[in-house]
Amino acid sequence: MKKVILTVLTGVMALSLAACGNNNGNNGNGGGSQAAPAASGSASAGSSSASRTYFINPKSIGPAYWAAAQKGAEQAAGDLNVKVVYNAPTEADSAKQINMIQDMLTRKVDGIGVSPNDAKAVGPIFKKALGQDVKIVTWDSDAPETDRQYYVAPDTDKTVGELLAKTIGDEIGGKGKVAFMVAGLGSENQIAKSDAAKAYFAANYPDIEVVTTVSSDDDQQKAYANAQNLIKTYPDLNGIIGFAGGEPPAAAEVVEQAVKAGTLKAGQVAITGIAVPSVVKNYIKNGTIKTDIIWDPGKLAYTTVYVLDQLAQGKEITDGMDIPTVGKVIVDGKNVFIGTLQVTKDNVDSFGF
Amino acid sequence: MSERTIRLPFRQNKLLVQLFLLLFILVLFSFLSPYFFTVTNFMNVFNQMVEVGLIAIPMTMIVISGAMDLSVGSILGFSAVCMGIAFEHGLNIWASVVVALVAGLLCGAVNGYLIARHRMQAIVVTIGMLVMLRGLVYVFNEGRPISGYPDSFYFLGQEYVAGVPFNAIFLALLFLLANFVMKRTRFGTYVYGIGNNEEAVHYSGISVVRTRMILFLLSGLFSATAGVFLVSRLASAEATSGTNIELDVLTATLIGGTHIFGGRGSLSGTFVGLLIIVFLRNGLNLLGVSVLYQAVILGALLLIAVGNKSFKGRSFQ
Repeated sequence: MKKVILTVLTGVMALSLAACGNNNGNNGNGGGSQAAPAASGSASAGSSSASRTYFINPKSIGPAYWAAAQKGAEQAAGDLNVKVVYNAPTEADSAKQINMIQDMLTRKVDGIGVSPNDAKAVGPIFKKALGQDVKIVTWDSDAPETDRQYYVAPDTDKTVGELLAKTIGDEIGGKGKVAFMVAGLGSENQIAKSDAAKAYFAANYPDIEVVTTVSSDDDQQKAYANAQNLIKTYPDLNGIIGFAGGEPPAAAEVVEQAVKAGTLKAGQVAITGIAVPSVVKNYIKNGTIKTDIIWDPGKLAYTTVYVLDQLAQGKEITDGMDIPTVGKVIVDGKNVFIGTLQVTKDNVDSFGF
Repeated sequence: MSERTIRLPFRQNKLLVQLFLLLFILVLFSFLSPYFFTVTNFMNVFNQMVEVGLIAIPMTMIVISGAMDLSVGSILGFSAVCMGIAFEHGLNIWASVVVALVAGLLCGAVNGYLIARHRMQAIVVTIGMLVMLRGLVYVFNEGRPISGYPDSFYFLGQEYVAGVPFNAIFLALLFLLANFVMKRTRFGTYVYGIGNNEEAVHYSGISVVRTRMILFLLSGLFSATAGVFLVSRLASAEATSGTNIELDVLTATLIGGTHIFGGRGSLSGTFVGLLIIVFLRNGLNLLGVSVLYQAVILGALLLIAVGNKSFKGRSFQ
């Protein structure tokens, strides 16, 4: 019997650990909103306090990109005096993501900002959210055939894809072999961007051949291994486009190492892609990456919270709307665009993320 | 037989401890979150636990028999995608479901053939299958999700019967059935026997090969069923379906008191273990606890379950 008691005690301890984790989590989330009364309390004394809660759900927790977005979401929570829960599965898994959204609907949050891992699979849960009058906004990756109210993005996937294709096309002189590295073969934003890039090559650079598309499933190690395989499989490769935050640094690291080892000619493989400046800073300074396309994921998350808050208060989302700290946004139908930035050697030090 | 008489009260003790833990979790989260102890939330949780639960049934049996099946997640994904492709090619949806089940059985048959007939290491074989099948999934559907099933199909994963999710009722029935098989039939005794002393079972004239084969076939079939239910619940068959589900399944099984080296364990324990992990995850989600902490807590629980067993085991000797 002693042992039974001992076991129960251990269980209790584990759960107090759980409770601690909970406190920590809340502190993390609340850090922003605690600062809020000080900031906005003087401006509008009578405004309703942090009663509105939003669930901001990236594709996964871990990658630097999503960590940068979390900062923006928490900043928005502070500025708007609302509560933000920022959470996602540790791996980009659609089923786990949907379970989490379902749990948050039970918690009766006022709005949910989702970056869906699978654009189709979120359909039923979005319908349910709409039935409960919970606002749904997709961000970073869209689910166009669902009941989501708005999609917050840097720009259309088509424009970004074309910009990437044009960048690499110019760099390699309009002909040669190019490989695509994506974060997930199933996610809408990756498909749309890579399709747009392919179409752009076909129309403007008919001499460029897209040899393959490899996917890392948002796993940094896998992205690295993919890049290694690419330069081994295609020794005459001219360019790599990385369509998500983890891909360009992996490609650049592998290319730099191969150049150092003498297995690859310096400058043979041009790399461009979407990556957070702080992660690719050294590669840009070394010239391994000439141009990197990015937007501020923090501002993207900030805009998502802002749009959700507007919707929850019954306010309109209008074109040219000025969002604090983000600036004017373009609203095109159901899309909200915050714009992209080009990172080069000259401006790489000017970004704070 | 004396083995058996010792085992029974011991197992019930263990179950009691797990029930305490479950109760504690339920009470704790009821206090921490006003949304936890509600019918909607409970039904949500039941709806979400079905895939892991379905696979946990054969997994418990396999672990009791002293082996392990790590390929279940890939079998799930493979069957789901097979079903999607069959449906895309114009097959009737229920015929596509049969395709998925057959695909699962085939995978299980390969596992069983190599492990039972050729006596290869279960962990090695199933890791091989895990990697290979996941690769095949990507080859088959080029990584793109398959969706657009008829509404009648969503009944399996999304509809409620008398306020209870249909898939949860299905899971409960299967657990009862499997529990009966393990406790009251010769097959169940063989499984425990193989886990305790494979040689002895062999020399008693019982076919170890056949028993193991059946276990892995069951595992394939249940994983495929889980795949069908998952597709129905999420309305989409994607290449990543079921990734890492084997970890959840094994966690539920081990927290449920099944011994990793076989011979001991029970389905009722696994069921409670399953409830513990799904309610824990749900409660932490409701509180907005970051998944990073959730992983720590789940891991700690597993350590307790295993550690607890080690001192139990010493007292047992």
